[in-house]
Amino acid sequence: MTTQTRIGALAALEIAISAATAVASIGFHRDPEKSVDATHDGVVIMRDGDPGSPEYILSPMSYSWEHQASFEITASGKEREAAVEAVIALFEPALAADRTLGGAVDDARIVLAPEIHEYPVDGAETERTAMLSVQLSYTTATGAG
Amino acid sequence: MSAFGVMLATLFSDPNLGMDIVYCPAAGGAIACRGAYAQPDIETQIQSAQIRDRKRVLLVRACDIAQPADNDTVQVPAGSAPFRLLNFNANDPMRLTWRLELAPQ
Repeated sequence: MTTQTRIGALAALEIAISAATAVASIGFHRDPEKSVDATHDGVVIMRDGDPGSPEYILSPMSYSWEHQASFEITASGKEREAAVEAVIALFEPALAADRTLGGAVDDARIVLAPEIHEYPVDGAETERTAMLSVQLSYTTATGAG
Repeated sequence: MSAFGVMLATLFSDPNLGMDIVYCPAAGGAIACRGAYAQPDIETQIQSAQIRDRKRVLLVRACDIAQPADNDTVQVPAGSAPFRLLNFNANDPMRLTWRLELAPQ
């Protein structure tokens, strides 16, 4: 009988990544309601993302998910490229330390190269952002995750 | 000086609007003059997030600063840590003022 849940998987991912960013004094926000301040060192915004459609496992009935959670990493200033890359570099060690996130998932890993954009801002410094997807593989007892 | 120029001189000399600044061209020859500075917040939609940043906009008179250039810096106010020049535009139809966009070094 599986005890993994969608909520538990996301919470474990939040803990792993926020711990890594805290060590580097990088701001971390999960699904923020309000605006987030731009910084030269970078800021990380976690989005719960899309669990997709499950695969069904019979006897006992369970649901296997490959959930794409996303992270937006944004930095401004002259050194924004280096700042964004430094934050991206925090993710792989944080996930590789325990790919099961304490048993909350079967596997957690970056499956796509980051998607990078630059946003010129009128009257302020250009923002550089990288979108990083982390795939969470887990199995739940219900179709609601 | 035109009536508009006289008005600008009055406004920039007013302590409620203007302040003493030092404009430092990259080529050298610092210029002490007056500027009108504002730093309102700006919010920008970046991916799915609203990112709040601080605009730093300085108006200076073209009779003080003939032509801004990349890599120039500005002390706002005079004597403080210099800002770098991000961008500049003529700010009025008569090109009597420059709108300078600044950022921390």
